[in-house]
Amino acid sequence: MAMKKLLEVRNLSVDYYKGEKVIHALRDASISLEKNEVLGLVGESGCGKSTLALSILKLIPEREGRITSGEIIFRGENLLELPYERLLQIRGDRISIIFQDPFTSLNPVFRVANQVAESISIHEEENISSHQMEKVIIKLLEMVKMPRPEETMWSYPHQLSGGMQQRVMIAIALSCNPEILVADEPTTALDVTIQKEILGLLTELREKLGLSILLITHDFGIVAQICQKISVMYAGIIVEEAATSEIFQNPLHPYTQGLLQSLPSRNEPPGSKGHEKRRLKAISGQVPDPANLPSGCKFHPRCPIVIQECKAKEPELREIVGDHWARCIRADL
Amino acid sequence: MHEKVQNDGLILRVQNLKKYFPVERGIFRRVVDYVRAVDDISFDIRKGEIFALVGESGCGKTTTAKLVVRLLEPTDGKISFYGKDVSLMGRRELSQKIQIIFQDPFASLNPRLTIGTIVREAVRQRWEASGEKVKTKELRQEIEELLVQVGLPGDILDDYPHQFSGGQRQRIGIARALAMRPELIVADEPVSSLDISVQAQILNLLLDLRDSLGLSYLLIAHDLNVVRFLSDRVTVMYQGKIVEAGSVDAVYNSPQHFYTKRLLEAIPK
Repeated sequence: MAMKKLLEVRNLSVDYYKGEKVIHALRDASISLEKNEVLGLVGESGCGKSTLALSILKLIPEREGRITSGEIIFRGENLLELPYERLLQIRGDRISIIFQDPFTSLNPVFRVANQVAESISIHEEENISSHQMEKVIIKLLEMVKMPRPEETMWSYPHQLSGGMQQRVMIAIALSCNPEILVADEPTTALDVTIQKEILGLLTELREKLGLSILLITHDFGIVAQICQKISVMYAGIIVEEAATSEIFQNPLHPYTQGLLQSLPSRNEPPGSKGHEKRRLKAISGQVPDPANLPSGCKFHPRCPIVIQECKAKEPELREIVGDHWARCIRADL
Repeated sequence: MHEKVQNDGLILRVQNLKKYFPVERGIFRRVVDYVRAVDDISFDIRKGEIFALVGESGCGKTTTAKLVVRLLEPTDGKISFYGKDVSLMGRRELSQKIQIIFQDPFASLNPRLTIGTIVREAVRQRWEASGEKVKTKELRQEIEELLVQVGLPGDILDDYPHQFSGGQRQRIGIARALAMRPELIVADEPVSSLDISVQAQILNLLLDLRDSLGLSYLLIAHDLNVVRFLSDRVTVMYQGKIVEAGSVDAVYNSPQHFYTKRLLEAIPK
């Protein structure tokens, strides 16, 4: 069965400029998102995942960073070569994005209703009466399970809890029924019980609306819950990609293996007798400075199975087993 | 220098602790209500134990942490360290017994001071408190030993906080807390702003220090996986009150209170 690739990021490279320094935030990164799929982009700080997300909609300010190469293909068009007006049509309408902290994304001086309405009126071609708009907004807020939408729509963001603010963000993002939702750490700032609700909501909306979701996170628990496929990023590039179950049961790249071993949830201490707690198998060292990357494989200084060849040349991403890719010369079944 | 162990090795005893914040209205700032941030809680921590307080935002766990180190004064209730009421201790005496490490390694280090200065401040205070005369060479040696103890190179004394990563800054914060040779460390979300791989290193460090220095911890955290891994006993807070308490195994394996169950069910995977 041929899977239709809805979005394809091909060999994307992004540099940031900080004074004299050039930071290679993204280096030849490629991912693809199928229709109705939830893809998790996982990695630690500085790996480039947020940069990739922002690049899809060209949201990186020009004075801060530049896309130096690559293509982003959406419905046959390269988004990076579109005229600005066309890009604006796609933003919010075909591809939407929600961010980590809804409180900083929402405008504090406008009521929720106005902000939702803004998104709709930008993309709607016909004029909608305010009465009709109200009904549309209430329906949207109901869709995101907002309590008492007829009342809360008139609130200001600061009057709402974090979870409710995020629901508003999702409502705005979905107001024009986009095909793709990019969610950059959407639940990091929320309590765990609210996180569960928001993730459940996203899953439900995906099913109801046929949505595809690109979920950026550092939390493996979240990807396990809602993603079908995972791409692991390190130092600006994808180092492993496979179905979620594959990643957890059979991680092939030493970095992915190290990350999973570092998780406290996967290390049950032997009983709770105080002084015999096992230690976590932590990865030694730290993530490299993106302005000063090591030679060859960027993970080699921290890799437990490093050999001489690893320092010479950065490996290609190769398919180790059906649809399971890893960027490591020593990765094997 | 250790106090005589009292109360069956209970290093900390919190009894009926309350912290109410007044809500004021109008130009005369009349008190109309109270936010009951901590509402009559009691718990004990045994020597050598890692004791966790968990709950979601607004439950009162951070306020409790601040009360234990006297960054806030309680509205009511008593906190005792080995049987001695902490409100009767001088600040200096208390700081030699209980220290705190914070969540945000970026905010808790003075950006204008070098690492050497930051840690030296703390070590010097300990020397002065114990009546020893400050000797420069030994002082520097002790600072270097502290840094090595937390896994940092000893030669960073002239560097500034911004030159370090989050994990390294957290280690510096821990070194500073250890300088006073405390017996109890209050760790307020010590790893939540750190990446997974760094988090693992810091968690290992906290366990190593517990074993090598005989420390006890009051751990404040919202990540239930971290709590399960690190703690011996856990107490669940909700809206200022304790809703469940017990050994980590008991609470995680057979939670009794509906809120605890909800919290545990919400953990992904």
